[in-house]
Amino acid sequence: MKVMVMIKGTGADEDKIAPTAEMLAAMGEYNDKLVKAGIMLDGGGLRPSAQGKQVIFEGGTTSVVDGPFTESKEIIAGYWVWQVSSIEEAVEWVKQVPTDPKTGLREVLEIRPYYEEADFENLA
Amino acid sequence: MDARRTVEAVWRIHSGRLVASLTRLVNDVGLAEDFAQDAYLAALEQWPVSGIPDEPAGWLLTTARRRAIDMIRREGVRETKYALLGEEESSPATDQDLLSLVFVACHPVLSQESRAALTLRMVGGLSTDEIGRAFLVPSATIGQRISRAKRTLAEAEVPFALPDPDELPARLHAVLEVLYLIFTEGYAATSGDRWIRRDLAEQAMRLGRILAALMPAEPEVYGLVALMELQASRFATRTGRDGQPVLLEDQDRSRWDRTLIAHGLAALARARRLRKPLGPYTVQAAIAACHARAPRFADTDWSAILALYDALSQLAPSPVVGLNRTVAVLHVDGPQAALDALEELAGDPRLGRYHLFGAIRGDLLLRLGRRGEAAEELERAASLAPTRHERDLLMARAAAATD
Repeated sequence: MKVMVMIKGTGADEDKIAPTAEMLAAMGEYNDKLVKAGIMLDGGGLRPSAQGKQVIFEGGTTSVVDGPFTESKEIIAGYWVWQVSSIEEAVEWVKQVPTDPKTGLREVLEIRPYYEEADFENLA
Repeated sequence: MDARRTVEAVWRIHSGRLVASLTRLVNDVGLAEDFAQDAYLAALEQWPVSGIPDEPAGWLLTTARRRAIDMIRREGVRETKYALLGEEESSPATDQDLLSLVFVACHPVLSQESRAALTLRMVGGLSTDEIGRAFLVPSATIGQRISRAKRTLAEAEVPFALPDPDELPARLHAVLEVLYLIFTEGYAATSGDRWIRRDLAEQAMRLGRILAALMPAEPEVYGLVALMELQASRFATRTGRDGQPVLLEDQDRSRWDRTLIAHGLAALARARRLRKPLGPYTVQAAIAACHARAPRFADTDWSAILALYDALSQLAPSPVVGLNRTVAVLHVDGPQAALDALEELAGDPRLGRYHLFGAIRGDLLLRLGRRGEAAEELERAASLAPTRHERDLLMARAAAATD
């Protein structure tokens, strides 16, 4: 099965986490492990939301909002796409993601399976 | 969360390296696998109660080693051979250990089907039940196959080591063949539970990527990974709602898996960047890439495909390659040239009973307006088709030919 793993933080914390060389090295090592395990299909890190935009559709109108999205409870900072044998396997891999407890910030890693053909088979 | 599924997941992650490091210790892959299984059973019993240990791989290795020492004490023999067990600290498997395990599991003393079963079991961490379901064989049969394979390896005294450099190309080819066999068993399934067999194809891709990471200088490994991923990207579209095959031409390309295509194309690029002669898997991947890159069927670069089939006919000549080549000839030089190319293959007895030969010949005759001959050919192909769906499809085309 294919899953997406999203690294999420809160908008208010975004500018408190500057990627350190140490963290980048740890992440590089972790990514190597994923490659060696044969599960890694894709992945990437996203720039802070200050450089992002939101396009909002509401009540028939469309508006564009510039970042940063400091009010957002959950901002995606990065993602992976893995092919794993089960969602439990993805959980075990996610548990090994390097984190830096010194920041004292809350990070959420969310695992979401992709739709597969079987999900659409019973649609009319 | 389901504790058992978590233990199974941890097992899938660590079992290959566990078996590899145990084999290094006891120098017998069969024994090593038995000890690893003992540790797995212990984990299935204990972890749901005690929780997953912080270092599951270390826990499994320590437990397996303890089982090994127990058994050796009980039997009171072979002290010298296993002296290592008492002395060394548990050390995780190196990449070389894991790679050696792959080569042992795919050793030429074993039959093709034993190699596949042993690889899935020892490197992939699949259970006998899972392998049985995937191959549509009772799990007892798989169990016997695996035991017999372990015995064969022991009797032949196959060493736990990488092949010698002069042997390497042939041995690597054997490994790739096993992975592709596992893949096609899942991908090309014409019967059985589709979802289980899809897992099998995913397992083959995963093993391929593991092998690529272990042998980053071998283009054919990347080539095979690319081939499997590019083919698998079409999984959702290659059969219709009722399981009938959908031709490449008619597939909904918007439903092809873009992530697999991107990864497959990247793997193909890596194979090419190594600047070594390309092997047959890489060339087949390059053909698959031509299809993956075409937004619509009409955009397909058939000249490139024809050139690749010419190369493939040199590297790995086979009647099926020749047959597929005629399809490329059709799109480059037209139906008459394709029919001429096909007639050159007609004498091959291996194609005589192959339904796709008749299916392609019938199609070419139809394009040339020779409708009566086309119908005859398509009916003959239908009588040779291996599945009901394909038979129905060919009969319908035969009927349409004379309308």
